[in-house]
Amino acid sequence: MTAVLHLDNVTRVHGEGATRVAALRGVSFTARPGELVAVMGPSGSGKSTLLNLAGGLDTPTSGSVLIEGVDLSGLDVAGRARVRRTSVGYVFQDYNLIPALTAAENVALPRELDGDSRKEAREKAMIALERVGIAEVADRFPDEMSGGQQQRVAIARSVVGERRLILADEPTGALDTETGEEVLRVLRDFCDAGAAGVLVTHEARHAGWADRVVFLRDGLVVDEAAASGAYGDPLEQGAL
Amino acid sequence: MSVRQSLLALLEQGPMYGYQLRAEFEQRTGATWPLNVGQVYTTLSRLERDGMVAVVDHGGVDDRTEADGEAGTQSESGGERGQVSYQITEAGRAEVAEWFSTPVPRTQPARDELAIKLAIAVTLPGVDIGRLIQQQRTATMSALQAHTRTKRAGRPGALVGEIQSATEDLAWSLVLDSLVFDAESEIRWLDHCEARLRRASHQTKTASSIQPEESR
Amino acid sequence: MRWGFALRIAARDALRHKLRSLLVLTMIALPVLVVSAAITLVVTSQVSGQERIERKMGAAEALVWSEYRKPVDQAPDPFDWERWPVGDRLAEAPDLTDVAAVLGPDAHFVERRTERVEVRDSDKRLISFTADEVDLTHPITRGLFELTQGRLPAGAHEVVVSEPSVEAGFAIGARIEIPGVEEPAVVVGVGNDATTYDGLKVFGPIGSLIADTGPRNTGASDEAPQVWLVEGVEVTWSDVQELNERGFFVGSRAVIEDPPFASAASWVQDATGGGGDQAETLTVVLLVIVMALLEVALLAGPAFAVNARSQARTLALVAMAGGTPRQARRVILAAGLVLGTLATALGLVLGVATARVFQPLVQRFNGEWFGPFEVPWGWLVPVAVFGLLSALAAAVVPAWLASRQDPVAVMAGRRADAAPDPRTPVLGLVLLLIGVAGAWFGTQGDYTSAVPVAASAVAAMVGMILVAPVLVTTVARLARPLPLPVRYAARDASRHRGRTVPAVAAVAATVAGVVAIGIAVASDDKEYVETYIYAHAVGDGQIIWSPEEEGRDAEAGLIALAEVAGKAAPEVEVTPMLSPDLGEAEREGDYVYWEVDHDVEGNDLGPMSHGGGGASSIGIAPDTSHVYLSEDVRERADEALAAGRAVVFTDQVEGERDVVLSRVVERDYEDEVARTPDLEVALPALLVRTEGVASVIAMLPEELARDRGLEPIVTGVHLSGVADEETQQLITKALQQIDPTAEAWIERGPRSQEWQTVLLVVAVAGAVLMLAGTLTATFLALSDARPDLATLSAVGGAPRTRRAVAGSYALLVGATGAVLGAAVGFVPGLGMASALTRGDLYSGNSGPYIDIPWLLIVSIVVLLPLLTAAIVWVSARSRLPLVTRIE
Repeated sequence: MTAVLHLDNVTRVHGEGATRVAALRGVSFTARPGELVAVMGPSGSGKSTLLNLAGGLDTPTSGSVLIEGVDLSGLDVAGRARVRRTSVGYVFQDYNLIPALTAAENVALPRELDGDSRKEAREKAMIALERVGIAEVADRFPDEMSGGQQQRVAIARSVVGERRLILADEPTGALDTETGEEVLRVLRDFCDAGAAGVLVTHEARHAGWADRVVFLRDGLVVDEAAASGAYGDPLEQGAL
Repeated sequence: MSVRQSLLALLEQGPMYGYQLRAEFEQRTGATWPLNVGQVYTTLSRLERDGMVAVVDHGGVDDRTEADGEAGTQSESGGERGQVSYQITEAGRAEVAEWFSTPVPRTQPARDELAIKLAIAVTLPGVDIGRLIQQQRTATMSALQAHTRTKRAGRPGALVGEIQSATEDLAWSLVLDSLVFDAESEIRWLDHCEARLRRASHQTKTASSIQPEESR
Repeated sequence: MRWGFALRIAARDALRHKLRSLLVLTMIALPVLVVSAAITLVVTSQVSGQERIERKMGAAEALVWSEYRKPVDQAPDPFDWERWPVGDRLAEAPDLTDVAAVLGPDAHFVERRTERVEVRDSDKRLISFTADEVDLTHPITRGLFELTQGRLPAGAHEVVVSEPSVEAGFAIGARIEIPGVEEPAVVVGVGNDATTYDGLKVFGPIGSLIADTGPRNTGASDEAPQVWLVEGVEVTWSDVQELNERGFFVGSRAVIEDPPFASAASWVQDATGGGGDQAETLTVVLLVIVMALLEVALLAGPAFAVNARSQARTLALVAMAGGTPRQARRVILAAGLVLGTLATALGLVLGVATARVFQPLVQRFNGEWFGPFEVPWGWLVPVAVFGLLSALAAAVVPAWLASRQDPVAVMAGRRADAAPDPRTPVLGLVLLLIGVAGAWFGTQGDYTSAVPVAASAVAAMVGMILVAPVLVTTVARLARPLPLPVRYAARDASRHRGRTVPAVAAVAATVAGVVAIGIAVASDDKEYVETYIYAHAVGDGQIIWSPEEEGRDAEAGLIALAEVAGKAAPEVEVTPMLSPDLGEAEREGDYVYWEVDHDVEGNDLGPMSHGGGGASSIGIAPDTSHVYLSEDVRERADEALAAGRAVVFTDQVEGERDVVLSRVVERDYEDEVARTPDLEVALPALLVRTEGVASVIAMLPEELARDRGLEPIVTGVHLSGVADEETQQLITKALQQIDPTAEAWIERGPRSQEWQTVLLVVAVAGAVLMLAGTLTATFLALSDARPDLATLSAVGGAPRTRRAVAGSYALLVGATGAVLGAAVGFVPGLGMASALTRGDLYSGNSGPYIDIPWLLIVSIVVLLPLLTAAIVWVSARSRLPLVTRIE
C-alpha cells in the first residue's frame, strides 16, 4: 500500500551562523494506512519538527515531504493549508480547541474552512463525534467538557471529512493515565480503520500502542522497534 | 513469599479445595505467574503446619480428577479421594490482615539480570554498549507493545464465554498494567543509561581532543 | 470564502470579553452618537424650502413683492437671498396691475406689510418689535400665526402678539402707542409666529401698526417690507420669469415644490459658473473625516490588538486545521465588523434619541422655530459607514499582523511580535517630510490653500504612526539602567508593539491635534494683541450714547451726561470733546460726514463718521492729551497745534502741507452713492505718521476752526482715569438713569482671555482623549501580561510591583505618544498659524505672527503622562478583578 505520509531524507536546519541548529538530519520516515507509528525521543531530538514538517507547517531545508503522494515543497502557504484541511489532522497535548466554538463547531472547522456549508460540516462533525463516542457533548463549549472529552473532540476534528493522516503530539500529556489510555484507544481504532497515525510521545507506555516505534536522537533515527520483537510475546507464552 | 499470603487471602472468601485455589489465583493474575498444583498443596500443608488453615472434610462428590494424586496423599480423614478443603483460621486471618497492611519491601531488590549485564559491560573494553542498549530497548519495546495488544484484546478467558466478574477483569488488567509500567520504566532507564553513556564518552572525547592541542 | 465561522468566533469572543468589547463599543459609538445627534439637530433646525412655504405665505399660492428694481432675477426659491436685482432702480414700486395682467383675472391679492417699530413704555424703556400688518382673519393667512390665547383681531386697531412679547409688556388688553399711528393698538390675543421662536412680533390689520411715511424702498432684510399674498391661480416658472421682467420677485408654491431645475445648487452653478470653492471645501472636509477616522481607529486599535493577541492560539489552530492566512485575518476583521456594526447601530439610535431629547433645549438658543423632527437618513448612512470603517480600520493592522504569525511559534507559547520591518520607519520618515513640505508649501503664495495644509497633516499623522514602532523599541533599549518595573514595562511594550503602537499613536494623534490647535490659537491671539488698535490709553474711554437728536440738541444731552459722570465718579477726569458742527441732514437717510483730502494718491482715508455720541474723527482741542498717540507723535502734533496748524494722522506721508476738509452728504441708494461735498475748507496742516490706525483722523486748534467758520460743538465726552470695572459700571449706571442707551466705554487693551478659554477647552478635551487612550492601552496591556505578572508575584513581587509596572506602562505610552505627537503637531500647527495670521489688505502684510504655547505643550508632554501614570498607579490594584480574562 502507498504511504500516506512519506519523509524522504529530510533535513531541517533552524537559525544561522552561531545559532544554527539541525533539528532533523537526513530522516526518512513513512506512515502507511492502518498503521500507528510512535516517535520517541528526548526533548530537542526533533520530534516536534518532524510533526510540523509532516503537516506542512514547516518546510524542510532539504529532502521532501509527501502526503498521499503530493510533494508539499511544490505548494505555497495556501496550498499546504488546503492539504491540511483535506488530508492531515493535528491532535495536541492541551487539546487546543477554540474556546468560542462548541464541540461540533470545532470538529466542523476544517470542513467549513474547506468551503462546506455549515449544515454539511455539522453533519460530518456529528459522524466524527459519534465515532469517538461523545456525540452527546456536541453542543457544549470546550470549558464545559472534561479533558478526556476535549481530547476526543480534538481527535474527531483531526479525522473529520475522511482525512487519513493523524499527527498527534503528546495527546495524553495533560491527561491522567487512565483517560490517556482511552484517548489512545480511540486513536488506535481510527488507525485500525485505515488511517495512518503518527504519535509523538516521550512515554514508552504510549508508544506501546503503536505498530512501530521510531527513536529519534539529535535529529537522527537511531532505532526502530516493530511489533514482533526479538523476545517474542511473554504473555502469549504464559497464557496460551 | 507472596504465594502463601495470596492463597490465604483467597481462602478468606470461604473454604476451597487445592485445585480451586489455583484456578482462582490464575484467574486474577491472568496466567502471568502460572502455579502448578504441587506448589499449591505444598504451600497449603505448610500453612496447615503453621496453624493458618485447617482441613475441612466436605465429603463432596463433584471433585475434579486433576488433583487426585496429590489430594490423596494429603488426606487425613478416612475418605479415599482428596475430598479435602481448607479453611482459614484466626491466625490465618491475622496474617492476611498484616500482609495487606504492610507494604511490599523494596529494600532487597530482585536480582536484575539486565542491570548486572550492563554493569559488567560498561567496565569491559570491546563491548558495544550502545548497541546492547538499543537491542535491549527494541526488545523491551516489543514486549511492551505485546502487553498493550493483549490488553486491548481483553482477557483470554472472556473469549471462551466464561462468566466473569468485573472485579476479576480488573484484577487481570492491573497485573498487565504492572507489566506495562515495568517495561516502560526499563525503557526509561535504558534511555537514561544511553544519555549518561553518551555524555561520558563525549567528555572523554573532549578530554582527548584537548591533549593534542596542548602537545602541539 | 466563508465569513460564517469568523463571525461566529468574533461574536462569541465579544460576549466572552465584555469589558474589552465595551471599550471598543464606547470608542466607536461615542463619535457616531455625537455626530449623528448633531446632524439630526442641525437638519431638524433647518427649515427646508417646502417647510418654509407655509411659514412665509400661509395658504397662499404665491408671494409677490418688489424691491424697486426692474428687471430682476431669481432662483426658483427666492428666499435666503437667492435673488438678484439686476435692473435699474425705480423711484416708485411697480404697479400691481402688472402682476394682475400676468396672472390673469382669477388672481386675488392680500397685502402684507412688515416693519421694525420702536416704542417707549411708561419707564421710557425702548421696546423694539416687528410689526406685521396682514388680515389674519383671511383664510389665505392660515399658518402664519397660531393663536394660543384670546382671539384674532376683529377691529381696525386690534392686534395679536407673539408669546415673548407678553413678557415685554404686551399682555392682552395692553395698548401700544406707536408714533405716527393715530389710534393705539389694543392687544386681543397671544400666539406663536410661524417663523420666529423668541422674537417680539405684533400682528394687526393694515394701518394698525405702521405709520404711513411714504414709500418703503429698502430691501435691507430678508423680510420684504411689503408683499402680496396671491390666491386663486397657480403661479408657474414662466409666470415667475415674466414677473421678474416687470420688477417683481415671486415665491411660488408650485415652483418651489417642483423646481424647474434638478437642484438649487445646480441652478446656482449654472447661474454663477462657480464650484471651485466647493471642491476645495469638499477635499478639506474629506481630509478632516480621514483624520477623525484615524483617531477613532487608533483609540480602538489597542483593543483589537489585544483581541488578536488573545485569539493568536485560535488563529494558529485555524491555520493548523487548514485555514489560509486570509481566513485567519477574517477572524479579527470579523471582530471589527461585529463590534463596529453594534457600536454604529448603538451610536445612531442613541444619537437620534439624544437629538430628540435635546431638541427643546437647543430650540431655546435658536430664534427661528425648528422644522418638524427629522431623522436625516441621507446623512446618517455616511455616519454609520464612518463608524463601521473606523472599527474595520482599527482591526485591519492587528488582523494583518495576526495572519502573518507563525502558528508553530504560537503553539509553542512564544508570544513576542515579529521584528519591525526596517522599511516601515523609513516610509514613515518620508511621509513626515512630505507633511512638513506640504505644510510649508500650503502657506506659500498669496492665498493659503487649505488642501495642502490638511493633506500634509494627514501625511504627517500617518508617518508618525509608522515611526512609532521604532520609537517604542528605542525607549525599551534606553530603559536598561532603569528600575525593574520601568524596565519590564518598556520591554513588554516593545515586545508587544501590536498593541503598544496603536495606543502610542492614539495619544500622539491627540497631542498633535491639541498642539496644532494650540499653536494656531495662540498665534491668532498674538496677532490680535499685536495688531490691536487702541482707541484710548488703557483706563481712558468715552461716553457712548445713541441720541435721537443730532447736532446742537445732542450737545446738550452730552453735557448733561458728562455732568452726571463727573458726579458719579469724582476721581475720573471728564472732558467734553469738541468737533466742528456738521449741521443737520436735510433728508432722512442722508449720511453726512467730514472728509479730509490731502492730495496724496492712494491714501484715501475713507469716510469719517460724525456720530452724535461717539467721539468725532475730527477733533478740536488745544493739544492731543485725550488722543491715544505715541510720545514722539504727540510732541510734534502738540507743537503744530500750538502753532495754529491742523494735525492730520496718516499712515503714509509726513510733512507740512495744505489739506481740504469737506463736509460730505451721501445719499444712499443701496449700492450707488451720491456724494456731494457742500462745504470745503482749506487748512494748513502737519501730516504725521502713526502706527496702525488712529482713533482720530485730524485735529485742529479752536482758533483755526473758528477762523474757517467751523463751529465747535461737543460731540463726545472723554473719560480718563477709570481704573477698574466697578468705577466704569458706576458711571454707566448713573448715565442710564438719564438715558438707557448711554454707557461708559473704557479702553482695556487687548483681551485674550477668550482665546485662553478656547485653549483650555482644547487642552482639556485633548487630555481626556489622551487619558482614555492611555488607560485603555494600559489596562489591556495589564490583562495581556497577566501570566508575567503572576510570575512576578510568584517570585515575590509585592502588589506594589504590579502597580509600579502598570504606572510605568502608562507613563511610557503617554510620554512617548506625547513627545511624538507634540513634535508632529508643530507641522499643521505652524501651517495653520501662518495661514491665520498672514494678515490682509487692511492690516497690511504684517504677519505671520507665531506664538507657541510652551506652557500648554510642556503640561501635555510632561504633566499629563505623569497624571495618567498616577491615576493608573492608584487604580491598578483595585482594578484587578475587572481585568478581562485571557485565554
